[in-house]
Amino acid sequence: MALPGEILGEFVGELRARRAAGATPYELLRFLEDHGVRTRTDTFRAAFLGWFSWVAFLTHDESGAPIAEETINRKIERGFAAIAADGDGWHSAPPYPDVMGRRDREAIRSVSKSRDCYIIVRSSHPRARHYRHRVGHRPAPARLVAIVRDQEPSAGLYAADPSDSRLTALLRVVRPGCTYDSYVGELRQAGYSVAPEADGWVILNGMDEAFYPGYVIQGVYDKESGNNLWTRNLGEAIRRELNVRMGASLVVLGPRDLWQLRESELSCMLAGPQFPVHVFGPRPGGNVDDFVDFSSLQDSYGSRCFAWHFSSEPAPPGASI
Amino acid sequence: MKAKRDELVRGRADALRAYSKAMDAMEMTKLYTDAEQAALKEADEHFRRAVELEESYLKELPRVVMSRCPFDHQPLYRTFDPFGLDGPWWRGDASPEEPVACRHFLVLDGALSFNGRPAQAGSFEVRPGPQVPFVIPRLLEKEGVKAVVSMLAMENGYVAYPVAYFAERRPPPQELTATWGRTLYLYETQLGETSWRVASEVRDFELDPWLTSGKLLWTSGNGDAMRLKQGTDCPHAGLRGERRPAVLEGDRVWFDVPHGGQ
Repeated sequence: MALPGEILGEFVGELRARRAAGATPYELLRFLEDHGVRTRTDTFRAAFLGWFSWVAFLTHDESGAPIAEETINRKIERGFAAIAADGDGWHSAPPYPDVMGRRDREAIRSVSKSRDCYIIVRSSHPRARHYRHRVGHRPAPARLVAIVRDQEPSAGLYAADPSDSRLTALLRVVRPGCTYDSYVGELRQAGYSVAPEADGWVILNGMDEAFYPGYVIQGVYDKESGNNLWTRNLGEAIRRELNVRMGASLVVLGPRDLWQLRESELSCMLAGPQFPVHVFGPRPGGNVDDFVDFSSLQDSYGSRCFAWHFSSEPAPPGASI
Repeated sequence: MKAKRDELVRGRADALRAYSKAMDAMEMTKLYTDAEQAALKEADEHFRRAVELEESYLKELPRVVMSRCPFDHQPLYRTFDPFGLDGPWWRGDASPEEPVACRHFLVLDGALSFNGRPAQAGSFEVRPGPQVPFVIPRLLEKEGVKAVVSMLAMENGYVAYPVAYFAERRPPPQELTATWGRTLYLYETQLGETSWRVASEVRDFELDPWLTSGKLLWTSGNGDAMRLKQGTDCPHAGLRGERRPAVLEGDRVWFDVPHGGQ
């Protein structure tokens, strides 16, 4: 399934919060208008996980006269009523998939435009942006063997929780024979520490800094030919430009499509494409397509003549390490 | 040369600071507004300036003799920033254009001693390696592969130990590893397929057995006067110092995560 053509995680979060606090549809619409959001119907659909008619969002009639606030409220509330009948899933929905803010989005767009290419990037961990510019936190290095916590405390940070079955599975594959204790011992020997359980078993470097996950690039392809652009000559230049524009080493890996271990048992929880992914294109508006499953991304690759590098759908999707 | 290099490094850092400031301003604007576009335009001008300065910096970098091939005795010229770790040459994602090497050259790795001086880098992470020289057994154990350890005194007082690997017959590209200071190994197979992996190698700091076996050679002297030597009287072996690979950003120093992740 492809999602709406613009990443607006901030607005989705804000719409949900305002609606939960009792805002009327008209107030929500005004909020989007005040912030220049033109994709209002799509943003509502993404925020509230249901269908709204675009007609409901018209603020002026055919003659150009403004439509009354009550009328707009009534039309949009019909959409909310249908969503409520389906269980109002947006109340408990995870944050809308996004990158870690406008600077990062513009960085990816700029590289996409300047190199006339598509950049396919996995959505950041929903909690990672919380740490993006915070002192005492830095993007994780490529070699860190650890698991990103999904739950509080310290959700969004790399941790060594001995009760996390994902860590056990990871160690079994990438460090056969390595017990949890020897794994932590190696970290300590390298000057790292593991915070106590109350702090989520977070891994800290010798400067007491915790690590959050950066971006995973899925692929970079030339707009005209569909050829891979992350070549031996250009790959590191693209990575460097992304990192310099973002102001931090947030891209520490090459594209998943080209990873030597992409179909190896060693790829463990990083096997295959992971979702959601955002496809940044070189179009003037910098529009973005989002994909949340294997088959729709595979179809998109086919339609754009990008080489598909995966023989089968991996499992489980979304497991972040 | 140092004055020009410092000016370029400083200018680039200033341009990136201005870029960051403009991007911060952009984040305060409303989406799709003229104010947003103006901030982005200003940011882009600063970024372009930073790129120009970086290109000049890379062009001006010295191409130094880092090693000598044990098979044809040709000098190995590589780009290098001997003036400090604040130059973008030291970035983990740097990819400077390198002079052509002899056909036996495989890869350059290395170590960097702070030589008792304060550790200092720029505003980005650098990974100059351990402080004492080492070899990668996985590479050196391959048939026909030899390594050469050298020493270069840096202008800031640090001491670099390049370790270059050569072979009479090149192993397939996928069996090699990343260049010194770089975090990823990006290669093209003989079938023309691009691939990559994380640079994560087991290191061996006990050089004597390798010197004895003749797999590891060493050099004395610098520049065109660099001479290839063989035998166990290598002055770069048995050095005492930190074996854990350092990571630096500004004046902050810690160690890289243990070997393991791919």
